[in-house]
Amino acid sequence: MKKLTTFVTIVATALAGSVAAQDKPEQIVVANTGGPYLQAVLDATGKAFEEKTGIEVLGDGPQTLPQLQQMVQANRVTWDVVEVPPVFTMRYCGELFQELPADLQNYDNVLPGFANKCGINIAGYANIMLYNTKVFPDGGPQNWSEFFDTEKFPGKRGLWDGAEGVNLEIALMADGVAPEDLYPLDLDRAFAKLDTIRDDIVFWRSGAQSTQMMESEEVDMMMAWSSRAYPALKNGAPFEPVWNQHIIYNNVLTIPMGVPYPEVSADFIRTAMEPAQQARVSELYPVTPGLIGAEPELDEAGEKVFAGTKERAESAVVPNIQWVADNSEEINRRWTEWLNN
Amino acid sequence: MSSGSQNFLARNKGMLMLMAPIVAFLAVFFAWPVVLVLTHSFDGGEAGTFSQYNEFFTSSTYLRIVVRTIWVALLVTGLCLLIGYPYAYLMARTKGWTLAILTGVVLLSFFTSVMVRSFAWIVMLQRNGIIDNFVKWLGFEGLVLRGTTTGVTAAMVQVMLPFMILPLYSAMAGIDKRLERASTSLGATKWTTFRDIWFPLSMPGVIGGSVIVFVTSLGFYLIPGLVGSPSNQLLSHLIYSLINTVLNIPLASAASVIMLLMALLVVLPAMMRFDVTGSISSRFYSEEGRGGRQSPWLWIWAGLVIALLLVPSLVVIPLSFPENRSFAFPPEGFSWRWYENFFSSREWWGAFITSLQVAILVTFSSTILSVLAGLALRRSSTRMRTMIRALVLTPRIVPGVIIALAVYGLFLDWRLNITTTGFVIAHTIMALPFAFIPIAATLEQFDTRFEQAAASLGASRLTTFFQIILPLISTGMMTGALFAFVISFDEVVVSLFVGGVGMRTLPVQMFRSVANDIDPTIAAASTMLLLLTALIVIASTIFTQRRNR
Repeated sequence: MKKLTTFVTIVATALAGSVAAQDKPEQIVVANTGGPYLQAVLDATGKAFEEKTGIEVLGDGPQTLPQLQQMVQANRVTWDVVEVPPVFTMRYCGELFQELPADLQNYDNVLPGFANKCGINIAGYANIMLYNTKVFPDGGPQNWSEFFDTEKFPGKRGLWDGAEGVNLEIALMADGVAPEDLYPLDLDRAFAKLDTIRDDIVFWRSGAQSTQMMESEEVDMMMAWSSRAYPALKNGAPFEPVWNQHIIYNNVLTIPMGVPYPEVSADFIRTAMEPAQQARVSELYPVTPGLIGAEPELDEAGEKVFAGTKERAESAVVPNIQWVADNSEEINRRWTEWLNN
Repeated sequence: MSSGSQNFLARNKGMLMLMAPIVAFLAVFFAWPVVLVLTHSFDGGEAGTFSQYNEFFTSSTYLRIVVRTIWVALLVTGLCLLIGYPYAYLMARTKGWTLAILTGVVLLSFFTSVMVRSFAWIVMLQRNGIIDNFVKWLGFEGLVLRGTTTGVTAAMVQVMLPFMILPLYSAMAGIDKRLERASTSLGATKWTTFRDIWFPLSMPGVIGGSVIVFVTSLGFYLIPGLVGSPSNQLLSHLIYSLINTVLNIPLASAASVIMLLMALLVVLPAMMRFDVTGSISSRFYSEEGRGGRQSPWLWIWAGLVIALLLVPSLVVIPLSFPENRSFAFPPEGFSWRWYENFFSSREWWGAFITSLQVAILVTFSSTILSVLAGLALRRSSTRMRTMIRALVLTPRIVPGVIIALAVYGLFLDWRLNITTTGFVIAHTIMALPFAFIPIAATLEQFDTRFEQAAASLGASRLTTFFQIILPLISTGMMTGALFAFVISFDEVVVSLFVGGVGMRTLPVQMFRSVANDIDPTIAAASTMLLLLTALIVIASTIFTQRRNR
């Protein structure tokens, strides 16, 4: 009899344990591009979430689209929350990413144009121009037109190796198109303009490479993500940002299809959207908060490249991500063609 | 017909049982998932089964990329042969310590992590990098090779050179030097002797080395990806970006099938005509014709090759001591903090331990599978041999990202991602070709009469294996095991997919720190790896020297 009671107790405890486990996981995994930014997210939002819920937050990165697709198809999703470029959520909403709870859709205090049913602005940066102050001590190019002017400003130009959201836009602005008239993009015109600086372009592939380019003064001017310019400026790289015709960009936080605890994932996103966490992440790593009005305290280099000030936010060019997402394959194909011709 | 096949089964029962493990392993974990991925290339929807191929071949851009890829692979192969041949020739002509040093340099370079060398090449080739500053110091305008095909080719040649020199040397070491004496005594000039005797006899090495270098260059991702520019991209890079940015797996699969066919077109004929695997073996070492005086030009050439093999890796050493989180060259300040970080950070130290565990397990799994397959090879017909070899060598030809995608998908179903088992399986696929080559070669050359003698004296098969075969093939087996260890310890592309939170390998951690982060810990890790490799190579050289004496 005593044995039976013990047995029942064990079974009951085990059952209770498994029920509790179904309600709440011990840990969740948040994935983004990785590196120091991931660390900042874990140190700020991750810690806050753990204190609130007792759920440990782990980080993974870099997140890749094919990996996510495989996870979703196999119904074994190990990333509970994923940060991605908004182009992805616009292309794969309902397919790879699930619709967010109603309170996370139509969020008021974020820049319009990046969020949709499946993604909410979490953090961003500006695509800014920087020039080498050693090479141009009396001031370098001040707009994209001058950036493309190889006679007035000779030298190597660093550009990101990617088709979506920046390079075609700056080429068109350099060619005289007003920011509000950019879309639909005139691809022929953009590539023709890019042709004029082709021989002077040095491409960078990852954010770390762009930082390295400034530190080793590999280029005389470049387009860089404001957040990636920060470590270079902090290490004393002689580069000056130009806050004119900068293109603002926000990444979005998403919940993949088939995550085991969608409610917990949504809760994490709610924590991440709190003003305190938004400011804290930016203090640790100078991304622009997704939330308008978050006020991080920054050091000098941080101030220089922070895209979230009122003035810089208002003068920013906002890309039409939906158009880019709809034309993604075409833009990418043309980009590869242009690169290799 | 059916009785014929039954006969075949009955006759070859032993061989088939020995072969079963490796065939089953590769079929389940490699062939099946890879075929699944590649069939996506026929996903044309309404446009038809071959629409992906149609799209690929009607695009002048894609065709240009294919041509460029073949051209770079040919160029790398040609240059490796040109640079490596005189070096291997000198190796075959020397003995004692000279030979030990010449071999040690090649091995050191061969065992230096590809991640370390890619990283070093970035620092070498970039603007204001070492080469650029050196050329400026000489009084020229400067030379930036980063992002150029020349830069990519140079880096690839440096990485591939050991793959060329080792097979060349083992083919040359097996040449009977008396043939030369016979030739000269009959009045042939040195040149005629070289052209008509030496060179034809070294052909298996030339073909073996060239095939390996060509095929590896075709699908190489790391160097072109890190050192090259998108405006002169190669096929491997196109496949990556098709998969990673637009998730166009059908077109990427079609591109992979095309790459696979190009590789097979080169490999199969070479494998039919020449004993590609046999050329990479340690034949019986003979002192005959070694140790004489060699032309000073050969020594100068060898000196240059040694510099090419060693110097690029050395630049990581100064980069491991900067004060700031920076890769600027020359580095500013001095600190040990990146070394401290390596040992104290869970990510770095944990990755190192994971890599070590996985590599040791892979060494065992690959060696055992290869020995069994090698034993089977001895008992099978020529056609069968070609088939076994082709099967084991294919992981070498399939683009890494395709294997990664295939294995990742399979492991999701079987819950093997982010597990040691998963890593070991994935790495064994990649390591098998390298472990198999030397092991199979020694087993094939192994004199069957020893076996027969043992059997006639009443030894059982098992006793014969452990008492006779194993000791005699130990050199080849050690070589294969060492290769397997190094391949596993160095693998990046598949590990990027198979790993995850809490379980990453060291090369993946290094890749992340170059691609996503400016973290000089990679330079500290590289320096320590370099020293460790150097120590092992030097120790084993001294050990073999002592033993030979």
